This record gives sequence, structure tokens and C-alpha cells, in this order.
Amino acid sequence: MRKSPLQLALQRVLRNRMAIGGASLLIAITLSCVLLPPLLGLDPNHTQPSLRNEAPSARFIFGTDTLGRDVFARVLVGGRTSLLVGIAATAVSILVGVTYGAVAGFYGGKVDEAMMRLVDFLYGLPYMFLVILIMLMFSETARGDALPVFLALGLVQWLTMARIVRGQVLTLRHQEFVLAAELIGASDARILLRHVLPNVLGIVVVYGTLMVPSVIILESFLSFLGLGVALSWGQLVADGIAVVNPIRSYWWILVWPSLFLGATLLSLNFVGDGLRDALDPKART
Amino acid sequence: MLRTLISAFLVIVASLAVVGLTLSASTGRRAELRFVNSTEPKTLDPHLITGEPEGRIAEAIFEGLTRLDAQSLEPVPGVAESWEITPDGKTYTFHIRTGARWSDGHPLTAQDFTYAWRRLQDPSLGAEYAYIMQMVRYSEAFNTHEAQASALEGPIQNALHELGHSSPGAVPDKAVRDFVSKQHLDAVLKGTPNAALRAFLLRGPGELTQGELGVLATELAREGQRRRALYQEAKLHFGIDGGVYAKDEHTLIVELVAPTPYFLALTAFYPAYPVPRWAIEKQTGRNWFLPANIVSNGAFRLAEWSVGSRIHLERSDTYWGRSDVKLRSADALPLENQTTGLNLYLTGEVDWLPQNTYPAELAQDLRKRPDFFIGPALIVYYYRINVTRKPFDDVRVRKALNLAVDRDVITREVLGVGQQSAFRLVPPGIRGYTPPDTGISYDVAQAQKLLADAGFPGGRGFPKFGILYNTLETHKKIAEVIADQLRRNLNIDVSAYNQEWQSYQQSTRSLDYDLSRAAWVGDYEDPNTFLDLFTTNGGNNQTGWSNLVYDRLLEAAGNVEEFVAAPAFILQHASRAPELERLADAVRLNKEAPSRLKVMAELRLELLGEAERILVHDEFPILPVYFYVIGDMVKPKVKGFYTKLRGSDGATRSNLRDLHPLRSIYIDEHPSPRDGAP
Repeated sequence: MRKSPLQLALQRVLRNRMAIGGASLLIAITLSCVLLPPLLGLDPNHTQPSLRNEAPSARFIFGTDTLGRDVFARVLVGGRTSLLVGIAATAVSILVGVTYGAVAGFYGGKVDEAMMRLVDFLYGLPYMFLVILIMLMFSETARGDALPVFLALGLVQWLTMARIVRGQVLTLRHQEFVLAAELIGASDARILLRHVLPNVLGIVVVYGTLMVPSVIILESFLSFLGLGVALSWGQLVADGIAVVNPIRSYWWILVWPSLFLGATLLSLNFVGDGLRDALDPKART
Repeated sequence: MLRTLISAFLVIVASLAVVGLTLSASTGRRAELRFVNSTEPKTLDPHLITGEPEGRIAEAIFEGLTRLDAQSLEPVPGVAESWEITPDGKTYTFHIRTGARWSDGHPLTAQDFTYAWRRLQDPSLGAEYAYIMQMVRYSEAFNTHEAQASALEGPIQNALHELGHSSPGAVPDKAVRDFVSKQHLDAVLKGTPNAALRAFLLRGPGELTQGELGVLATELAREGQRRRALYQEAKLHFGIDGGVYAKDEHTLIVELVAPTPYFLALTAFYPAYPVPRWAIEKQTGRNWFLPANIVSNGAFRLAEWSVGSRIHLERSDTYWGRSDVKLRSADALPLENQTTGLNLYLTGEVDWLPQNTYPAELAQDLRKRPDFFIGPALIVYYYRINVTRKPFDDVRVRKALNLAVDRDVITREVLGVGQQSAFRLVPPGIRGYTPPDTGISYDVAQAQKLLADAGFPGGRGFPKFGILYNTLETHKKIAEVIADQLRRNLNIDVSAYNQEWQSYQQSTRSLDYDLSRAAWVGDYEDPNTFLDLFTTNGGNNQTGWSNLVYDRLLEAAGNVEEFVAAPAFILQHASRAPELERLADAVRLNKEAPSRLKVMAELRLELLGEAERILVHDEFPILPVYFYVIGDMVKPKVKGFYTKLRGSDGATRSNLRDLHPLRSIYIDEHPSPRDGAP
């Protein structure tokens, strides 16, 4: 029996042990972040200053932070934010980037020229500047919420996606099957959606997976600067670093969120690499 | 090919070397004294400064008529070598030193002070600290009356006209109240002698007839004209031949509205510093204080300001008392990260960590060290409540917030080095002042009841709001604990968020917040320095709160004689009227100067106590959190640094204000143990 390209790709992914390991770890982390807090009734913001800076014990398996909050609860709930921001911001950037790139590549000529110059221009601006600008458009009380952050990150991250898609569409545009569809009178929208986009899907998926970790890192960086979401891994790492000092150190406040953040980023990169090898064999290095 | 590579390599190496050299040049060499100065100063213009980081630098590079002695913090001769005070306590004659010079060599004259003090009050400068010097004759009229007159003649008349048209019959009570608050009538009419207007501001609920409206319009217009006339008069005289003026180059006359016991301490404070007219007027923007342009008159000069890196001060060659200054140079490092600050101290990179520049949670460990000094402070940490926003316009909501915060958890567990929980504004320890007994304490049940009365039973329907703090670890912790307490005690949604110092100041100034963290360091040892923050129009009020009785009480405290002459209004609203009346009578009957002044001083503090009561018992525009202790870490080699004060009367006291004038600090590389070390 002949196998479809998708089956072939799946086979290649399944053979990649790193990718499978990464995916399992990712699923495990995601499930515990989503399910455990409500199941165990964990409150990440409950301050009990009299129980501050306690080392991991049976009661607080990850210890407590400087305000007596449960680090385990904070790591899990913070993980929700980081993962949500990663996925949502990537979704925003895929939506914007693919649409933009596809339109530019498909119509070509002056339209393409104008649209890509805008991309070049935005590339030239320091992205931090854009992110801060977008964040400022939200009211002050919305700061610390997730929505402004993933909109801001998504709206900054789409540029690369737009360029990649535009390049792909530009070559596909002149392939025989697209010309054939045009000849039988299919509308532009139909050609784009039915014939062009399915052919760039592979590359979009690959870059999307690789974008998630970079967005998570960006969010952590923003949190580190005090601009990000109130409770995320980046914020927890920042809190952890603040208590590492020459007098006394509470390693658990720093180590746990760092471990989770690191493991997630690594897994995402393995999965992304696996998908790239499978879906886009030409790009393999 | 090889040659190209080699030359490319050389080019890269050369450019790296250039970059490296530039970087190392900009860090310069290490100063004799280095200290952490929690944040980058926003400005060094003495008239525009409000923060401590700026104050520390300004104090080193400028000097007022008086300065504070390092060991007693009592005023001693500064630019003025002597002064006389008239028996009524209202006129000061300062004699300026002939040796006083600016850093560019210009002689320092009495005219420099008249220019500076007029500039401080100039409405176009918008100095927040203008109010602090407004016991000087003409200054308040010059600073505020023109804007008030324009409001009274323009927008307020229009609004009044509209009010009359919108309701053909009598104007309903609510419309009148909206008009009063929208037009800030309390502020615009501050201190008016007009009986009709005073009565209008104090009226009970009720409609206003068209006839009364007409009278009001006339009276407001008349008040506008009165204020304009006063402004014109002040503009003509203030700084020229009235209020503050130069009799000759070395004689400065200052006329006060009322005797002010702490005036000589104020002249040592940065709003009263002289500023160089020629240097300011040469620069078009507000950048005359940058190292390239600045001209100053203090013991040090601003040699370098590398933003984010350091401010470098060097001993001034033109300072009159340069032979007393032993310290050659000092570096102030802007460091918001407290852990970094501590690291720098422990590795010997800095010699002094002032209050708030090391992680607060370590204070409990650090206090065991011999180079750590801790004592009570004249500082209060509080949250402003923005009363212009719903639902914080409701006093019940503000009181509920006040009752629902357990300060003891913060002082004992989060801070834990002897800070005191605060339910009041004025820190303890001020001589002669008895704070009001408010009976307010942590009481969740009452807080919940108040919130229910305000229309939010069980916290339902209470909008989500934010607590704003400026970026600093300690502030963050306290904000998170308070947010959590409010969340759990009142079941309302609160989040804490931070802004760096400059945007934080912008937000609080433009009332762009719900709750915001604040602290106030007493500028002089008197309740007035805390209480006059919250007068209507006070530049540091920043809550939108305004209360007529409160304003009157502070006015009365500023001019006790006037109060004694006409005490009716305050007595009618005071909680301890009999006591005030008794003291007022005592002043009236007592004609002997010394004992009369003593009773007046007592009455003055009594009036201030009444004012504080309004703030923390009736109205709650703030949520006091705790009173600071000051902990400095300072190397044994830093001398001339006093953690315990010895007054001229021989009594020892705490250094309540954490003031350590650089002028008297010096470095002793082979130190013996510090005097007064614990």
C-alpha cells in the first residue's frame, strides 16, 4: 500500500526519539499545570509571611517563597500563563503573518513591494520598543493580565512568518496547478485557501513550533523587566534571582521555575526539530 | 586573500580597542566615598526636586542660607553667616558671607536668593515644593492667585451660567455639589475672607434658588477680582521689595506672614537653595543642571553624570568653607536592585548603603553586623487612595480598605527589624506632639460591613483595581501581601503592578492610578511636614482629596494669631473644641511674650492633631502602612557619619531623617571603632 505524505511524515517523527521524548514531557508538564491546581486546591497568591522561605518539605514540596507562598502552586499556575502566552502569541503571529505573507506573495508586484517594505521597516525597529508601545495602549490595571502580553508579542513576532510564507507563495504562484485553477476561473480566495495555503502548511507548522519557545522566552524577559504577566515562569525566575545573595540563599525559589522553564523550552525545540525533519526534509542540516 | 583577512582582523581589533577604551574612560576612577543612591535622579534643579535620591545630590552641590550640622541636624550658618529675628518672629535679616561664591567664580549675593525664591513661586515653573515656603509674604498670592482668578472669572462663571439655565427653577442639591467638585471650588477659594463664599462652601444639603445663584455669581466674580489684585500686587513686590528682598548685596530681608518656629530649618532645605540666574537663563530647556552647564554653590560640584552608571561629585574649589571639607570626591550609584547593592557593599565596591538599598528581608541577619545601624525614622509608608475614581470616592470604601489590612504581618514578618504598624500619618517621636486617638485597628468584620453598606455586600460588584508601586523589591512584596489580604478579607479583585520611578511619578501626579504606594520623609521635625501634604492643591497630595476643615486647620496652625482672633469655624467642626477654646482663651488673655509663645506653640500642635484626625479617622484619603526604621550600612572607615545625634542642649536623639551631609564625612583608612557603635 502506498503511504500518503502525511503518513510518511508521521512515521519519520515517530522514529525520532528526541522528539517523542520532548512531546511526552511537554504533555506531562502541560497536564500538571492545567489539572493539578484545581484538583489540589492550590492558591498561588496566598501569602503566609510567617511560613516564609521554608525549604521543600512534605507540606510544601517545592518550599515557600519570601512571602510564604507555595512555590509548587506558583510554578504550576505560572506555567499555565507561560504556556498560554506561548501558544496564544504564536497563534496571533501565525494568523497575521500567514495572511499578510500570502496576500503579498500572491498578488506580487507593487502590492508585494509595499507590503514587504512595511515588514522591513518594522524589522528595523527594536522589538522591545514595539512591545512596550503596544502594552501602553492598555489601561494600567490590565497590566499584569495575559491578554496585552500575547497580543503585543504576537503582533511583533509575525514578521518572520510573513517573510517565509511570502517566499513560499511567490514560488507556488507560478506552479502549473495554480495556473490551472486560475484558468478554470477559480476566485483568488479559493486559489489561496485551497491550493496555495495547504502547500505552505508544513513550513508554517515547523516555524510555529519553534516560535512557541522563543515567545515564552520573550515573555519571561518582559516579566523580568516587570512588564510581563503578573505570574509566569519568567516572573518566578526573576523573584528567585532576587533572593540569591551572599548572606543567605533560598535555592528552591529559583531552581524549580527555572527547571520547568528550561525543560519546556528544550522539549519544544526537540519537537520543533523533529517536525522540521519530517515535514520539510529539504531544510534538514 | 590572506592579506585581506589580516587587515580585516586588524580593523576589528582596533575598533574593539576603541570601544573598550571609551567604556573604561566613562567609568572613571573610583571616588573616595561611594554610595548607593537607590535610583537615577529625575532632575537636579533644587526647585523641582521632590525625591530622596535627588535630595542627597542637591544637598552636596548646593547650600542654603543655613545648613544642618551633621552631628545635631540643627540649623547652623550656611551662606548666611548670621541673622537677626524681630521680636514678633516675622522678619528675618540674613547677612550673606562675603566669601560665598558660585562654582564659576561669581560672588553669591542676596539677589541670588530673591531670584531663586521668586522662581520657586513662579506659577510657570510649577514647582511642587512651592507650598513649603509659602509662609513668606506674597509668595502664595504670586504662586496661585492668578490661576485662581482666571478660573473664577472664566470657566466657573460659564459653568454657573449653565447651571442656572439647566434648571429653570431652583437648582437641585446634586447639581450644585457636582459644580463645586468639578470646578474645584474648595481649591480655588482656599483661604478666602469672603463670608458669603465661606458660608456657601459649608452649606448643608439643599436646593439653590436662582436668586442665590445670582448672588453667588457676583461674589465669585468679586473674589476673582480680589485674587487678581493680590496677584498683581505680589508680582510687583515679591522678591523685589516685599516678602523677600535684598537690602544690599549682602543683606537679605525675609518677611513672614506668621511666626514659623522651623523657618531656619527650612532655609537649609533644597527648595530654599539659591540658583544661578545667568546659567538658567542661558539654557532654553530645563537642562541647566547637567554637568556641562551647572553652576552651584555647595561643598561639592557635579563633575560627571553618567546615566545608569554614576554621579561623580568633587570637592568644590570655590566653596567658602572648603577648608572644613575633608572628602575629596564621592560617587552616587543609581541601583534599583537591592541584592546588587548589598553585593557591592560586601565586596568593598561601595562604602555606604543608605536605607532601602539592601534587601529588606536580610535586615534581620544584617543587624547582627557591627557596621549596620538601625533606629526610628521620620518616615511614613502609606498608600494613596485616588478619591476621584469610583468606588474610592466613597469614604466607607476607603475606611473598609484601611480596616482590612493587617499591618502587623508586614512589620513583623515581611520587614521585621522594629518597624511600627501605622494607622496614622505622623511618625511617633516628634517632641510635643500628641497624635489623635483614632481607635482604628485591623478589623475585618467591620470592614466587610462597611463595604456592604457602600453597596458591595461580600465584595460583589466591586470593580477590579490595581495597586501601583515604583519598581523595588520591598514595595513589591508589601503590595503583594496587601493585595492578597484585601482579596481574602473583602473578596475583591486586586492586582499589584509596578512602574519605574519616572513613569510612577507621572502616573501619581496625573491621578492615573487606583491605589499607589508612597512614603514621606519628614523635611523638618514637625507634624506640619506630613500634614500639609494633604492640603487642597498641595503638590504632593496626589490623591485628589480636598477638605475645607482640614485646610482651615492647617491655615490656623500656620497662623495661630489669626485663629485666636476668629476661631468660630474651626471650633464648630473640631472634635476637641473645648480644649482648643481653652488654649485660644489662654493665648488671648496672656500678654507676656515668652509664655504666650509657648501656649501658641501648644495650640498649634493641638490644631495639627485635629487635622490628622480628619485624615486618619474621618476621611481616609490614604492607607498608612508602617513607620520606617532607618538602617544604614556603612564601613568603619567612613567618619563624620552620625547615626545618633547630639543636640546643642546635650540630649542624644535618633537621626530620624537619615540625613548625613557629605560636607562633614571623611575617610579614615585606619579606623578605630565607631563612636556610638552598638
